[in-house]
Amino acid sequence: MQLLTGMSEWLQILINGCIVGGIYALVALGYTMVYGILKFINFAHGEVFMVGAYVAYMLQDRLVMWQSVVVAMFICGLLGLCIERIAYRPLRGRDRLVYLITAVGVSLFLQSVITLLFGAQNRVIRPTGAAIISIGSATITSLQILIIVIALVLMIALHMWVTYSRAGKAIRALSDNYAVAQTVGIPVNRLTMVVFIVGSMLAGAAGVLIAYEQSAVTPTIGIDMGIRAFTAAVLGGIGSIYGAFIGGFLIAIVENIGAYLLPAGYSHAIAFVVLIIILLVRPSGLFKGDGDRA
Amino acid sequence: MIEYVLAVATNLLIWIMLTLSLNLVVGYGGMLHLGHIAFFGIGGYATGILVGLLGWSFWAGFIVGIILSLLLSLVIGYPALHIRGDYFLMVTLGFAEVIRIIATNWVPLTRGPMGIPGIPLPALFSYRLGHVTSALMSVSLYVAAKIEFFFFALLCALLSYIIIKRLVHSPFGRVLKAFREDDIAARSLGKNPVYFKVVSLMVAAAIASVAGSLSAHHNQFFDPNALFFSTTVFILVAVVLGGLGSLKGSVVGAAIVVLLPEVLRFLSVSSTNIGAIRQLVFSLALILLMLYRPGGLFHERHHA
Repeated sequence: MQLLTGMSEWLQILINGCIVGGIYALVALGYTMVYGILKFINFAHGEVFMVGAYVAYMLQDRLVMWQSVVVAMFICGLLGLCIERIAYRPLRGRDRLVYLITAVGVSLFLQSVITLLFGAQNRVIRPTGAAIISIGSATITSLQILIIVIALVLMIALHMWVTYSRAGKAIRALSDNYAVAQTVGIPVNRLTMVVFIVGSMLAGAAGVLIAYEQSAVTPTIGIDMGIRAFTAAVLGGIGSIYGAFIGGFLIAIVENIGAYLLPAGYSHAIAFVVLIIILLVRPSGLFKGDGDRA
Repeated sequence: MIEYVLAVATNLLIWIMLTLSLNLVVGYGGMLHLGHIAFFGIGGYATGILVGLLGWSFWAGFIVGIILSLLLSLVIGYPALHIRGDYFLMVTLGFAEVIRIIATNWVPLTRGPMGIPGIPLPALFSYRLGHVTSALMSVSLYVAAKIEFFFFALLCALLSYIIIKRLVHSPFGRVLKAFREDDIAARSLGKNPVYFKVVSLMVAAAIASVAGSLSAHHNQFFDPNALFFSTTVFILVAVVLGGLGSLKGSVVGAAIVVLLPEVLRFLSVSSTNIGAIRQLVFSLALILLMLYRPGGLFHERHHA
């Protein structure tokens, strides 16, 4: 085990944490928004993200990253809409267990379709000629800066939408008090659909970003990311949009510190361990108090 | 041929044990448990390490596996069930992934991705009976040992069935179902939900661990590939297909889940695609069952 000695290691960990943290946060937002309204963990959300990553793989020769992000957002938004309409909506009002089992089914279904189409092995995203920028002895590529910028732009857009638009206000009302919101005439079905579409679009964008960051995709990245992003959402207080922002970055930084200190193979386990600790110590999350309304 | 039939039949018994025990948690307890395979892995590795690598008696593998599973299911279940029910699935899934990651990376203990080969079949009734079976049925000693092992697995599966059946029809089982149906009403009777749920989780974990030990003996090999999340979902499919809260259904569900890939093999589907096609068919079955027939093939009988 190495000890963290210099500033540069800490800086590098912080930079790496910010790159993937934005991606975690984008996926966590989908969990938290759906949970806010339906009080249900959309287990298939990680798989929508995985589909986004495969969109990046397919389009890598034709489009540059930000263009793929737009296409993936469109495709994944459509996918989210289909999942909601076909699998979840007919179950409205049924037992919670039925919902959860369906979500597990949808998740494995998407994974097996992608496996049949692309195979179970790694698919490589060829590196683009990104410039390496050094800050002290820490480094970041121009591609990674673009990843951070795209993630931030999407988060700011979501913030504006949730705060100022009519639909955003209605969504906040629904997650604040479902029954009252319904009574005053907020169209629940339409907004549920909107939340699924928006959450899936963000996951799709995140999928493209992670594909470029890790330069490889496999059908199992959905489940991996699913647990991390869910942990981020729980850490921030599930149902809280701003909690999910912060949770995403925190989990990513903790994971990077852990990856630095632990033997290589174990870094995947960090998010799970964090999840279990949060649930033991503070299951309502860090910011449940005032972030609850958002 | 007889070896193939024996192999499939023994594998089926192992799956029946996994399905029955998961049904106790999901069907009767109403908790979506996505980490069942972890306890299967604990049993498999207990047997693999103690019996396969260290050469202890095969009972040690079973007993250590059961004890570890009971302890770990208590440690995971107690806190997870104290908090909101939805988190349970993520905690159990996370736990199973941690177990798989440890099994893959702790190479000095588990041999990591290489797996543990050469786990012997248990010497059950000493060699003599093996000789008798071998002479009577004119099969080789190896096949005779396999036949004996099949009956041993059958005994374990029957015991599991009886234990779970007695449990769910006892006052304990009725309270467990009461919590599934109406949490507040059951609490108002002064029952503690955590106690009932954790105990059912522990019983299920112990049975899954025995199934894991049996599987390690049966395949004479155990590796982390057995511990993928998708296997837990296949067990869940068997539970849902047969019917949540129906033990007979679980037996049928397990049979369908185990035999379908064998049928695909006979239809000469390439082996690389069998895994993905199996996933596709079963995940679709899960969605369609939930939409159109949430009770599965065998509805749970409702007592008035």
